[in-house]
Amino acid sequence: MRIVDKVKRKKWMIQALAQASLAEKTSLTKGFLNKKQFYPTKKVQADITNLIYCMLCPNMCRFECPVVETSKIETHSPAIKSRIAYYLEMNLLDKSAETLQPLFEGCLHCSACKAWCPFDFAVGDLLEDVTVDLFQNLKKYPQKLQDFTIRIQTNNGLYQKEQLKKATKLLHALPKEGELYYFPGCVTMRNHPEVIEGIIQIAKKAGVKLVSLTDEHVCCGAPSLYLGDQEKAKELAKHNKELFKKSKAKAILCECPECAYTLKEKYPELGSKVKLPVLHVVEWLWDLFEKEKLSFRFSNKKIEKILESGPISYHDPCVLSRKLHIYDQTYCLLATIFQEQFKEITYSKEQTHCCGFGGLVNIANHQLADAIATKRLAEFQDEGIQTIITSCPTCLYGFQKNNPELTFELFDLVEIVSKLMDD
Amino acid sequence: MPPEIVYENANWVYDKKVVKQKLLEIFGLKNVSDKEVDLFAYGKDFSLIASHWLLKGKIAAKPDFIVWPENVKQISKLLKMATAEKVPVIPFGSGSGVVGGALPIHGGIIVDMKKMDKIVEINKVNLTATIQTGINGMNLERTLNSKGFTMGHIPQSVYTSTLGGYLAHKAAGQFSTKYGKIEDMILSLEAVLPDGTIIKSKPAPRKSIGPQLDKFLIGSEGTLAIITEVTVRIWPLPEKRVLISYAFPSMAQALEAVRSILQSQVYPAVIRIYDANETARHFLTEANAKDRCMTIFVCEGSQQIAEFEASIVSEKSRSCEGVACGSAPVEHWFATRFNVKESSTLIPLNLVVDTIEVAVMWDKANKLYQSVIASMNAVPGTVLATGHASHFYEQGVCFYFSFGGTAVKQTEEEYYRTVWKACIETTLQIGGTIAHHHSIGLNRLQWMKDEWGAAYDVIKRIKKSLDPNNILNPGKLFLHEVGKKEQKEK
Repeated sequence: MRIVDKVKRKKWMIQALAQASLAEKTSLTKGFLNKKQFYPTKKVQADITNLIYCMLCPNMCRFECPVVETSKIETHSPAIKSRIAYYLEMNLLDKSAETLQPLFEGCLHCSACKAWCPFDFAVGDLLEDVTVDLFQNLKKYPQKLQDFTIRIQTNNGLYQKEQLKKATKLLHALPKEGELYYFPGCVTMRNHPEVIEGIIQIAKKAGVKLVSLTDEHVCCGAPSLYLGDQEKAKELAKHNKELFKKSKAKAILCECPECAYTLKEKYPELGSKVKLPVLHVVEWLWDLFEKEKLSFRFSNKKIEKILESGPISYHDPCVLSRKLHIYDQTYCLLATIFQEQFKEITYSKEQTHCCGFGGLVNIANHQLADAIATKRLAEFQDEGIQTIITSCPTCLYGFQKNNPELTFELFDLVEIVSKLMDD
Repeated sequence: MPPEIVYENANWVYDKKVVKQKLLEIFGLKNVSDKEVDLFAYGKDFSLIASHWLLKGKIAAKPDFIVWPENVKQISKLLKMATAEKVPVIPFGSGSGVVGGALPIHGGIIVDMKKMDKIVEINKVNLTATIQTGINGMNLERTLNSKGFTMGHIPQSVYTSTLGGYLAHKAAGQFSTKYGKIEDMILSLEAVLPDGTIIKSKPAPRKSIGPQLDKFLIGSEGTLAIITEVTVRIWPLPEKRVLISYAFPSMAQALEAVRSILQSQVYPAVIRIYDANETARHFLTEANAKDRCMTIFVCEGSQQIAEFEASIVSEKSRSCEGVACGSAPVEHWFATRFNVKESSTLIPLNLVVDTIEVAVMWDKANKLYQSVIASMNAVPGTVLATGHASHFYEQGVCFYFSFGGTAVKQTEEEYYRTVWKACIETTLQIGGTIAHHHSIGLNRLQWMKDEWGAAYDVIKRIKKSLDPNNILNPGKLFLHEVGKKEQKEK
């Protein structure tokens, strides 16, 4: 907005101020200058101005926060999380495991709040900066989060190498130099090697030369950022940037939205800006489809079983839809594949509801993560959906974990595409 | 350094260990908390003076426990126990009130109702919905919308408030001129009395069976009972919405136009009259509205009714020198109506701001508007006092006054209370009523006797009879004297 327009919009206020008495003007000026009393005296990472805006807001985004809508605990509501964070920054609350717990178990970093925020920020983004300040007292963290920090620091990722054997074996088959650097997510490597297999198959059929430096692979750093462990995140980012350079690849492929987002948006902040294009697998699949390198065999027997289960729908991962704004391509692909049998559910695209496994909620309070996942699955059930496709390994993991009676057929989009491709 | 608590629990003494054990027996471990961080989170509402306190490291109040009931029987057991142990119990939706109604000023047990948030039934024949009261307003409305219905109750707080809160403080939504206020929407309710008795009324279009107890509980601010479930009227989503606006030379002419519209039995869902100051603030780009009072209308329902009502609105507006401004101002209102930024941005600048709503009959409406604005402006420190009218009846109107100022010779709180006093006492002098839909809470408590007269003793006697130990939301509606003696003796 132009300055002239800004001034015009505040004309009512300027006129009122002009008419104020000298005593009132003096008091207003004093009040304005005194606002610094509401800021910490020492430099902090947290964005105090926006924390204040958030904590003084009457919680207008709360109805869309999946955590408080599931837990029903006021402490998890967006403005209260900011209030706790502000009081911690101002040393008005004790930094204890109990006080810090709601900041970790209470935010999925799903950005659902952002759509309704008049200031256009997400509470999760505010809390990320707050945790950088809090991390200086790691010993005050809830024990589970202290353990998790050490786990990442030790493994350079979420899991030990032995837990990733199947994925590692698949990735070892890829060359060390090539066109497209495949950056597998930790959760995919541990829980969904079939997705890695699918990506490798699709690339092979489409004639794309994938490259992976599996033995040197480390986490993207997103979990470290949620912990406030900025140093570890910087270290991981720097390492990954070197790997990308070493591979001589022209682009990077991620099947995990969190990895794609971190590489694209967070690495510049961590001093390791990646100049190569970073593609989420949905973008890659869409590109192949548009270039007619993907063709589907609709009479494929592999798909018949899926089609028999009734309407098929898609769960938009928060990071993919709300932070990376990737959904149109997904819906076009799914409509092409399943045609009339594909049904978009009410809370979809940027209005999606989180699976419950965003941020560190599953680490801090796995019962709460499960409850949120169950609630999201119920939304599909209410709309008569039994087959759910998604494009995020963490969403898939969360749903699988909370589908004990196999009520739902759950797939990653990659699995569907790889099953359907012409041999 | 722990935060200072503004309303400290000074007089209420009970054995917390015993009470905690009993709470655990009733609710189980997962539904009871006395964690410091939860007590911190629940000691709040969104009264704007509390925002000043918050920035200065003070929290308004602090409960001793929070419980989350999952069914009405648990609430019954809780109230029986609390009556026996003489422990304050404060029903809580989401703490979005603006006058201190849900603050646990004597400590005690917060009953967070949010786990009782089911839509039990939607009856498409009767056009009713039976709903538990812990449900969030927006989630209720959008669930109804997804099935082709609306409750028509859309307060500005709808994103952040609960059905229980609407019932507790007798709420009114932005579309109330057509769909009614919350008390008009309720056909029946289930509630738990302080002795644990569960009462449930029967839905009926109307009853002639003696005084209507369920309606008496609406607006009782959690002091007489905890309302757990209601059956409400619902409506099919409107087929047509017509947006029109007119700018009037004065508040008096705008009021006259709207009076004639309502008295012609035409009921636009939304009517809002903005005074010249608020018009300049919200509708700057509307050339026809310069130095005038913008008035927006939303007529909705079936196409024929909406269009017919709009034609009468236009005719009546023109006859009061209204200048047509088209649909753009109404679209602007729709786009910005939930955009609540001022409390966040102005309070850190040490500005004191708030809104106060009152109601008055038509024959005193313009006088009340002019007098209240003058009275608020007369308080040293007031930089701006403005008003709009947002709820209308055939017989009168609700005004919504806003003020912004600075503490010149007083503390911020003293300045805040002085403006409130000016507004409320002017309203009483002119014959208006001191609250239209935000209720009494703490901010208006001192004027209860002025408002009610001799009848105040009657409702106090009813309170005493239902709640002899004053356990339900003590310190609200009934001043502090009810039950205070007994507590001191303990």
